[in-house]
Amino acid sequence: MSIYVLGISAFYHDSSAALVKDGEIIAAAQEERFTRKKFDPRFPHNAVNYCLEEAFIEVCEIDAIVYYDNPVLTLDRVIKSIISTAPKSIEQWEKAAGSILGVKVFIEDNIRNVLKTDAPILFTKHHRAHAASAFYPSPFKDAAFLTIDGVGEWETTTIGTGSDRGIKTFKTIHYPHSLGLLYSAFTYYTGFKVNSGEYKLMGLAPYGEPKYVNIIKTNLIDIKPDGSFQLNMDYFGFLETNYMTNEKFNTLFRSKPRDPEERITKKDVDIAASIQKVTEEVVLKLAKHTKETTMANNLVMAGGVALNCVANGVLLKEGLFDDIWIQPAAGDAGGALGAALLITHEYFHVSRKMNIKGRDTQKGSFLGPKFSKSEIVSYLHKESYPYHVFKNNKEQNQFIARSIAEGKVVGYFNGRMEFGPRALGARSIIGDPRSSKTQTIMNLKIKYRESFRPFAPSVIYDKCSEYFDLHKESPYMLLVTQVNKYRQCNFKLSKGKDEEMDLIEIVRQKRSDIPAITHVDFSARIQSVHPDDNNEYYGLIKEFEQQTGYGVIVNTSFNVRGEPIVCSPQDAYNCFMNTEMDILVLEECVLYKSEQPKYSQSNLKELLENDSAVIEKKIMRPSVNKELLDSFYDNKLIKIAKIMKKKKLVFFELRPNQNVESYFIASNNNELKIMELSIDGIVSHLKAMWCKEGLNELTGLLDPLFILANKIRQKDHSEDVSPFIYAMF
Amino acid sequence: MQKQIFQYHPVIGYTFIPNIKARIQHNGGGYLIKTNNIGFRDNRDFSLNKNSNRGRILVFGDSYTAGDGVSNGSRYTEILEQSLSGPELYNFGLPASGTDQQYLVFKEFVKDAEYDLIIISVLVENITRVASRYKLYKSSSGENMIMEKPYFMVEKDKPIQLFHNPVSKEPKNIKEIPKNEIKYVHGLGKNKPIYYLKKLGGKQLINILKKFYKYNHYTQYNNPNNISWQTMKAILKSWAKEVQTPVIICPIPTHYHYEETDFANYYQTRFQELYDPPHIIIHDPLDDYLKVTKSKRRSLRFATDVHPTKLQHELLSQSLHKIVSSYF
Repeated sequence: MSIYVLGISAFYHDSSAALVKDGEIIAAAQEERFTRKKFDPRFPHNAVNYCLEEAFIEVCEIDAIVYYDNPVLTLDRVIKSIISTAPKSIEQWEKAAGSILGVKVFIEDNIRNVLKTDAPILFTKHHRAHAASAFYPSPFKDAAFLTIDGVGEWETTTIGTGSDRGIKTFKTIHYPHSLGLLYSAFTYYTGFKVNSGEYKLMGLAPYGEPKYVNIIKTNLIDIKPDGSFQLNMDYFGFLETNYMTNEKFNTLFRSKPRDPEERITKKDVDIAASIQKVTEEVVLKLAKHTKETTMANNLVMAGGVALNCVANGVLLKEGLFDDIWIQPAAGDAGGALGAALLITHEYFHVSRKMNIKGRDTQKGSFLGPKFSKSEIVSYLHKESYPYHVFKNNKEQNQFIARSIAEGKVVGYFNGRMEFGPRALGARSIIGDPRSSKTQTIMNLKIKYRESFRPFAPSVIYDKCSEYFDLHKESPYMLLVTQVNKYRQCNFKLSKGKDEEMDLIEIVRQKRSDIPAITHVDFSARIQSVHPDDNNEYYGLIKEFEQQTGYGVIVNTSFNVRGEPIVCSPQDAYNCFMNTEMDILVLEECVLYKSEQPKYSQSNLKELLENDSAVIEKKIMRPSVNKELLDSFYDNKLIKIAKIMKKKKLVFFELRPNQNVESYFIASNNNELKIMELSIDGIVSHLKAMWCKEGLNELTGLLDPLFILANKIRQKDHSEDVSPFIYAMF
Repeated sequence: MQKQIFQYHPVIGYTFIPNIKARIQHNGGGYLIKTNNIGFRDNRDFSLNKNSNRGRILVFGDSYTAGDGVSNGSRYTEILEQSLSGPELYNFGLPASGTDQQYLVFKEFVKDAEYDLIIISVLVENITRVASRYKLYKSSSGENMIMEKPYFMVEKDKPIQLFHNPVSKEPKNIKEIPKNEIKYVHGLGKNKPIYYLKKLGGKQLINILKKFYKYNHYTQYNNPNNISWQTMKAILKSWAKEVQTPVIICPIPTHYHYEETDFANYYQTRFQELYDPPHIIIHDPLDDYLKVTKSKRRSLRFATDVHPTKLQHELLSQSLHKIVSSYF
């Protein structure tokens, strides 16, 4: 009998589901792809449905369902954090209570109701799920792991090992000291959306000079030689308010956060360069310490910060480890996969199956839905959209390659959709990297986004080193490295004065013989394509190489700004018709824009408005239950906060204690590792925990807390992901 | 996002897309569907000639037969096949179809095939569909849109005549069709008197009044000369005429009938008009349904969907087994 484990990640941002059968990843997908709501935090009904569809199994065949986060520990953090900052934390309380008390404490019950299942519903720890998502699919028999994100329960950073004995965590860094939150604070400050704009900030960094590194390191973060760190909470707003930074932060950088409508200035790019530099320093030091602590030869990484491919590239170049593998769905979405793998191996004790070719078992991250030719043809016939079918794959590839070489932009929809934030050739927009116009055209006429962001190259794996300073595979676009020196042009980034940054002008200047994918610092975010992962895509690039001599093409995600990557043929057609793409490839069907009927189903305006640079500065307060929550805060939490203050009890440091050698905390691996958690279970675990800590005042809070929870219970997460604050609750 | 599972068909209006696997989200927890090479929900591909010496039963119907709400393996056709342990059963159920479209399924896909028995499962409600010419649906923007469906008309002493052939592929806004055609749109509007009574006094009042006035949802069966019944009867007769083997017509009761809020005698009387042994047999499973305790009968359909649950499929297969087993 097979063991099926369904992993679920939900209610923070980017909900997802993953299904693992006997240790093999069968399916994984993000809910946003189906609901078309970017970073959808709601229960992943559609993703779960897809996973069961892919495996073609009934719910009763699932052996266990696992949620990737532990509500006991998260609630513990929320209560302690709110109390620590009372009476200033009412905004945070209102937001946190709606999410943790209104939804997360009822997860077990909600899952049972939705899926109508009697299977055990288990809970794992957030960072263990990240670690498992990085280790189990990796090609390594054993490895060290490093997970870094905003926060999961209490943890923001963990170090440990993965082996046939499972995931073992050695050290952690606790909330509120978080590299992810620090990066998000700068994302907010530089005028981008928190939870999604971090990538833009990273793309902006190469334009700037790291002038603010010292200011950051002197005032905001204390970094120890072992990479452990603490933040100075005097400068951040996320403990008390619904914004990442505060007035003191503004004073430090001598201005308010950039209004998204305002032009990006030299100062903004210098700040971006600075926080990127600090991030790289921390990541590098953490990795060095991980090496010293574990003595492992290989490193695996996950957590949102592991998506910082520039830092990953620096780490790779440092050569600390023989090899590095990074989970492509490194953010919270990947937590579903990690949780499912963790339960498979550590709860059901299924032995790990390695890829016999020595490659990973992530299947190129092509873990989402595929649409058959008959489904696509049915759709095109139903809508009467004209299309062409070539005699064979070879002819089709010849046509697409020729079109790209002629400067056309192609929407490429092929095979199973990618799991994770990057498009890897299954739902991609592709173009010619040799043209200096490609980047501008793709950005402004197709992606409708800021022009400074670079595009990534997809390069055939065996020719990677011909173009880039990279001698290993990078199948998931998670490593940034330099375009080879001999390909670079004589280009010098002008270090203008404030208010003089014309990013479009800079982007238009040729930087190499593959300018569309060469960033202003000659870097590129590489995707190497191997036929084992995606034979069709490999074949297409190979054909482009035959026609042009270049085994590399531009690859950007198949979506417009504000829209999740397309999932279905309908989504693809919609995106195709709403942009200036020339050709759409839907598996074997090829559509020319010039032949399509007038298209009226445009939701582009709505999409762009949703993602508008203009972010309305409203405070995201839940309107319902406000009175109930405020009264609880005033009558219960503030009282307890006063008692705690009298007793001089502190739950976490608010400022770095520079006298200590390290900020690492030793991990107790057995604590709440994997558990079943009904609502009663959550209450009893909290009670036991708080009793053990001598927090009798808090145990007295439990009954009224759960009475309140029942009053504000919701069926699903109802708030949108905030653009101002990281999804911590 | 719901996967597209239907494709346009010029004669029938639509069929399932061939060779797909999908899971449909449903308030019963979701169900798995697999379609065969010719676009019907069946785990087995269909060929005109038999592949073995096993008997072959072909079953036609609407969503009750196609199995909306349950996976392929939980439908009465699959359960019946297992219990008979001899013949193969092929399911040609087409959701939301009328008996007219089901007849066209037979003509398009099966007419020249080898088979030993035909079962036509006519949901009693289907009488409203044979009288309709359009199917109503809501567009993504919430507008009332209609799709054409094929339909037959009867004239005395003449063969039934097919209209909307081929079926138009283009949906229309309901405002685009002439006013005198509105009555032929299936699914339009609520049963107003019942709706207002329900609002006024709830279900119980309705049931009391229905019993008192001998109310029946499908009044088309009340009168043998009703045009809808005449059409359905003509379709079934024409169909049976084209079949060389025995035909079992199985009127499937709606929940109004098995929960005893509608009287069954009207439809039962009408279907008996078709009884023509040994060629046409009428098998009414209602009596078997009524043997289930009243409290349990509610679980024959889903909480918020009238389609048969696994329990009803089991019940229907047991009921059919009694008659079908006599042929094999």
